[in-house]
Amino acid sequence: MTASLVLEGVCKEFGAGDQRVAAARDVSFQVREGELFTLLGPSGCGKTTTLRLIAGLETPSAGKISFEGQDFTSLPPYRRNLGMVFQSYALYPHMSIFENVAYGLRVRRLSQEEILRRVRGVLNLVGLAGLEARRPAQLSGGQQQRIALARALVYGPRLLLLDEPLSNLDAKLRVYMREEIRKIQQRARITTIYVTHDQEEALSISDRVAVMYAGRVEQVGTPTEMYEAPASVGVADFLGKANFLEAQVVCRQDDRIRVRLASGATLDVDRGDATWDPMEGEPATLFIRPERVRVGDEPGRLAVRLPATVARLTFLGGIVRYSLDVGEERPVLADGQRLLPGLEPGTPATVHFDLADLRAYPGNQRPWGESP
Amino acid sequence: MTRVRPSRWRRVDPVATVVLGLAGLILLLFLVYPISRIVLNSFLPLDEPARLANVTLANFSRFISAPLYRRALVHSLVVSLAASLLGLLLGLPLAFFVARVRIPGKTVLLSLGTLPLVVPPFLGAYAWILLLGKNGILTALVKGTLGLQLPSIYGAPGIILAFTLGYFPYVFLLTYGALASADPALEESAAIMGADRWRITRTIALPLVTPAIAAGMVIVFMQSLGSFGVPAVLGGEYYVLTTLIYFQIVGYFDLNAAGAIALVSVGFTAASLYLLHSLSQRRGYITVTGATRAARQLDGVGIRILAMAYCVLVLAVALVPHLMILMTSFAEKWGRGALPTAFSLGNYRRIFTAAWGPMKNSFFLATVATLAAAILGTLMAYVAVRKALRTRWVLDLTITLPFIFPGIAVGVAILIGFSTGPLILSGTWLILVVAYVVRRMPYIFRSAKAALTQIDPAMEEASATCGASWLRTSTRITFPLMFPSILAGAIITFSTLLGELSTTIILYSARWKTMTVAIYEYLLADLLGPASALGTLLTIAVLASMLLANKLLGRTLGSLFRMV
Repeated sequence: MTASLVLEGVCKEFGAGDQRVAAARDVSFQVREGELFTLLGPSGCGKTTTLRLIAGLETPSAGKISFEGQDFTSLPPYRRNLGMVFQSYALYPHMSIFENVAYGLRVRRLSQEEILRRVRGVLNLVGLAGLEARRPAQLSGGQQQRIALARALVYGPRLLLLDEPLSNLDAKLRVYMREEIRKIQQRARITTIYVTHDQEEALSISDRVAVMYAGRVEQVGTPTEMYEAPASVGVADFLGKANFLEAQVVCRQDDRIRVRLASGATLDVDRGDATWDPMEGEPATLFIRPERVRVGDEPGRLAVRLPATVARLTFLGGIVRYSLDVGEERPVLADGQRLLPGLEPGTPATVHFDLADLRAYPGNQRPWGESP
Repeated sequence: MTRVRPSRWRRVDPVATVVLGLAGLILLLFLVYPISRIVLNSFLPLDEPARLANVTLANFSRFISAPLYRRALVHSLVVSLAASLLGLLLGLPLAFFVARVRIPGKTVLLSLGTLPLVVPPFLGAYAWILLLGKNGILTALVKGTLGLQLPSIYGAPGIILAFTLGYFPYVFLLTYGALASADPALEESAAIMGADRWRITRTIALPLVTPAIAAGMVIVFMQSLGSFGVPAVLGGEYYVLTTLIYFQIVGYFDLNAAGAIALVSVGFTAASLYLLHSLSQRRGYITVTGATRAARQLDGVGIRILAMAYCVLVLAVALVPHLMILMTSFAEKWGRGALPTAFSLGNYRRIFTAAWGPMKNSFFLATVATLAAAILGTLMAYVAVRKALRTRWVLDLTITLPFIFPGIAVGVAILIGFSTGPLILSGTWLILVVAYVVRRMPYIFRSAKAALTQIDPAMEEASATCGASWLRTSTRITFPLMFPSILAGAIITFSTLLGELSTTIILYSARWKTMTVAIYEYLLADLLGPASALGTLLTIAVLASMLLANKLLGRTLGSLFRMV
């Protein structure tokens, strides 16, 4: 697959003088043809600014944006041939649904028959044929969302931009719509940039994800890579529930490092942050997902075993979350599929996991939003 | 199953019933009754009792038979339409430049743009006589330098000029509000779809603000149609509906004829409001907005210079007459030239002895009327929003009825209602207060209603579950929460009442003359100095109360006006 959209060292600053704020710092990534690429991050991380830079609604302060070999950096938005769905949908209240969808076709001066044909086609695609004469205000949120998508797709843009398209919908509809969007995107085989702050949404529909924080791209990868092997404590924490344990570097063991927990146990683990060059005695943070931690004497015991006491258990419907005291500063969370007999608060238990599921990071890294 | 009867005490709180019932009675007596009387009397000949046999269309048929009536009607429509079109021409570019071009001092421009609404327009009208009249400064200047004789300021040209410059801020402020608050994503999405600047303006930006523009123009039309002061000062023999009403009352004491003319002008205001309503209904606007961002500002050098030059020019022309008044108020001696030759505080000394009474009256009447309108308007808003009355729309309609009544028509209705019949109030201060309250209560009603809809009923319910009575809940919870909106409405009411002339001119008596009437009389007697001094004081008083509102509420002058 060839790279179709390329961002190289893109920066964007707002304001001037003392009020200057950098919304995007040295953002670089490549999007491949036909893939759904998601910009994910907490609010204020610069993901929407990056999308608006790609759209041409903002001009970068530095860097270069190109698409299919064409320099996009200072091309006005109306010459980029893009489709975009806004967070507020931006449907025109003074036009019918038909005219809303036909807008981009009218701009392109298509014949009336062609416009009719295409609008009908795209409304069928999003499953809203028959609503042509309505006004946007007469549609439900989910319908408005689909019309916005239809309007962005109807004239066959080369690149589709989606700015938090589902954030105004309720939870159930959001799950349904994200699958719809994925289907439509794959059917149209259109290169798509998707902006969201919802990690579950990002992981479930993306080919690849770029996690952003404080204006920077923290990591780019497939959803599985990102979830299993996050590049930093911040990414690990943002993408899902995580256990973090304080430890100390003992020494390097080839590619791995040997660390010692507060309880005295030593483990040889992989580095999560490939750029980290650990030194002896340096503090480290170990990370493992709760669903990779097992508790009790279930069949198929795993390599590493720690004695523990059950501190709390929480029934979450699909899973049972055990909070276990293993003699570290923080308890270890373990997600099981059912309540295990005999494991009540106060009873002793064994915690076990695979070494391969454990990652080590420099000890000074903290989850975003926590002060270092 | 046994059915539980709803507990009666909750539905009829005795205090609530008494307070709200009393307010309803006041509404019936002072609003419904006089409006019914003006409608009834306009179908009766002068000095005939109200009997079915006496019903006649004579008062209305004069619009066909009498040339004076016909001309007045045509004049009214011509000057009002012209003013709303010219108001569009002035106001729309101004709104666009202030909202969408990167220029300095926008807050100042907005405040200056609101100023003409604050100053009574007939003062501005008189200033144009000083500038463009037979011996006006500009007339002399043009004659001296270009050798041209300017057309007379009296009649249609002067009236249109004064209306346009006095009322164009309605178009300006409403359009500005719409432009500034529109979701920028609407225009951005059009750009993404390939539309250029011009196409976006034509197909998105302009259609979106059209309802606001139309509303502004309709308000200019209504205000012009209802204005008495401007045509009275500048009209001369050029009669319009309002001056014709005045003529019928002062010249012939024919209240019934005056009532018929007033109803005709009410008909036109109602029609234009209906037009506006159906326009905005058909479009059915909503805006789904996530994060609100400011609209993108144009910052090309050319457009910025053009925008700044236009704003300064328009505001200068609109404010020149008021500066003229200010200067004249300090003029002591006028030589042969157009400008005064000596300045002093003499005019101010004169009015503080000669016009002390009207000053006191104005403040007294405006204060009492504002208080009454605030209390009544708030109570009515409470009933309209919180009481589940099936007849709620009747209340809404009744209170907002005076919206379509031009000031002079309210004056005539109140005069007809309370100069004959069971309750005689003419000649007292009360009749002025009643008229003022009827005219201004809709504004307070609307802003209080808007405030109350914003307040979660759960706050009141929480108070009730803590054991508080209706009286306690409303005085400790509901009204304090509504207070900022009521105060804003009250201050606008107070300052517009200080500058009120159209209603007052019909109802005042020698004892209860107001500042505006005194200014009008000075102008008729050609006493420019005292008129200007009194006018300046009036402007200062109005501005001071607006600034106070600004300080207390942290809102700008413009936003106070956009609210009403």
